Amino acid sequence: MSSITDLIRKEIENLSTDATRTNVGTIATLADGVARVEGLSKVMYNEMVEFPNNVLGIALNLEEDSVGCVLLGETSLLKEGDEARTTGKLLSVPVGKGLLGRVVDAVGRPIDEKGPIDSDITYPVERIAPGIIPRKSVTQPLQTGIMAVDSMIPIGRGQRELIIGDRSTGKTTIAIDTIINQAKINKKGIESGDADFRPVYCIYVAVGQKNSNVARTIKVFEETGAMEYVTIVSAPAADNPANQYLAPYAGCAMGEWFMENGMDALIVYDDLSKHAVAYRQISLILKRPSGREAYPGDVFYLHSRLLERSARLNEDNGNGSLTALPIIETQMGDVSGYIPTNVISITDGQIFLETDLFNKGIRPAVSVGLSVSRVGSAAQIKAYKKVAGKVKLELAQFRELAAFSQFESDLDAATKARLDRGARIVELFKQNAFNPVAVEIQTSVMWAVQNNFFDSIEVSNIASSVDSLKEYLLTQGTEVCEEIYKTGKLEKETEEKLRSALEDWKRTQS
Amino acid sequence: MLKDSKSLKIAKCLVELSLNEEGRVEPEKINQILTELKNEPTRRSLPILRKFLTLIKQQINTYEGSLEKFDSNADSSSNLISDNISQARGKKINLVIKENKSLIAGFRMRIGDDVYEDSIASRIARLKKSLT
Repeated sequence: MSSITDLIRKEIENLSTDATRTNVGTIATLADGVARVEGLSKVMYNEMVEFPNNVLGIALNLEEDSVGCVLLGETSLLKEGDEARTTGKLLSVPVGKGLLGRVVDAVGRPIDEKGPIDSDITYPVERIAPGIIPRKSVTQPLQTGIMAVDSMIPIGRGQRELIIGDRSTGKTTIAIDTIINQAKINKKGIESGDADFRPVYCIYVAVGQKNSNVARTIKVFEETGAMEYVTIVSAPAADNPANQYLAPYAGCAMGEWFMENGMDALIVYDDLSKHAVAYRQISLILKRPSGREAYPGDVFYLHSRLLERSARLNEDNGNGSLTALPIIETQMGDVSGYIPTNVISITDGQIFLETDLFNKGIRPAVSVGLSVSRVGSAAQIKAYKKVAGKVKLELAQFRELAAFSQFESDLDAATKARLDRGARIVELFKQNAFNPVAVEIQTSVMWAVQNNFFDSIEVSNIASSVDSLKEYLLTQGTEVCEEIYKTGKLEKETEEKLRSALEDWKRTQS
Repeated sequence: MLKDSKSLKIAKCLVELSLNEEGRVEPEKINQILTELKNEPTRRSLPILRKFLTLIKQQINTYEGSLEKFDSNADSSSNLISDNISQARGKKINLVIKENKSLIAGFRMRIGDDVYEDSIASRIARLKKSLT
């Protein structure tokens, strides 16, 4: 009781007694979550506007005689003629480690019934991206735990890699796998007591998704023990378009805190197609001029200013990073749509997922030809670079040859060998959802393929053989795996140890 | 919002015509303009009139305001406030004094879109906000 009175006393002591000056206006019209306010002559662009009943809005349209405000709260509590007042503040969200393991809405309010957020720091949702000077090249890998991605389309810390594909092709699964893998790596790294270890904290932004999907994602994170490193920003389909529009920026601000404080963070925007649709809705209600596909003219800027905030900072600026994995949903595999081409041109590469491959059972359904990482092997550990250098080329050649070989009855030995190797790599890359593989295991398996350990195994048995090899490496081959993990290299001695371990495994197979 | 720049331009010109030398709105001039618009209506008459009304209100708000107090009786403090605000804005501001019991004590003054407030009610509201 005394603590409450002390708190009130303290607040009274600190309370400012100066006269206040505010700028006010009156709601002229109110519709579809947007209020047109007359007055507010001194309002700033993107400033928070306070309405009665604790409803907040953002000033998005500044006109000569009125201001268009997007409302963030319960609009039914407002009516025409109500007073609106400026706050002098930009929309801010809480940031910090107190958000880890929490589910928040687009303005950072907790929605997981786990009590208030333990954070005193706030960041504005809209911030200017780091310039060229504080940045550094992307060189440190961010392991997704997905063999097809880590070997052919490596992602680095600070990179922006787009995940693109039709509906139900496994886009979210790749993002979730990546987050689960970060949690696994974090746990292992923290347990090892390595002082140089840098954990990756994750932010998952769900925009315009069904609540059931968000709940399922949370469940996966909780079951895999990843939730303690994850913050979920949720603006589901049932939420108003303003919240859907703000959620990615709010998540980005949360990620920036890690980056600016010398830590590494990963942010997943799931997905930016729905984000663009929400922004289109707001823009049309604000009666802004519409352009192609009824999107407003600044829809490119909508995504570029968001993704540009992901960066790798140099040592002078804390050496932190923010890696972004935006997701875009295509229609009928059309990558030349308006929003897909915009985001492709902004990001540093894309992982393209094909419906046909997915339906054939090749999961993750990564299209080798259309997927690329512009950072390339700079974001791979040396050991992995050594074994996975040619895989992409081999697989691309396989796809091409496989198409042509359908017309040929007689094939020369070299072509046959290439087809055999390709078929084996395709099988090798098949991976179950939510089951990321550690980089040392991936390296060992890839080394086994490159050194013909799988050549005598029937293609149909490759998947089970890979599983047994992974199992063997986790139980019997821990020494060599540990060596690869610690050094990140594949020296002659390590290779010999690996060869002997694989020969042992091979004997158990026959 | 869709821009009707031509109507706005005309409305601005009409506002200019409605002002006297001191920059205050002259009711007679407004009557004259309204009569002209009525006699020669155009396709744009309605949007022009709407914009004209908004701009005239804005213009009046630059030199007229309201001063809400717990007690509506004019006293020396009201005159002091009026003088100070006129000095700060560089022109004579007419304040209409209104009674507002909900303020408890202090005042609330509105000139145009600006609200200056120093009342017990506003301090309590601030305290409430800081405690929630």
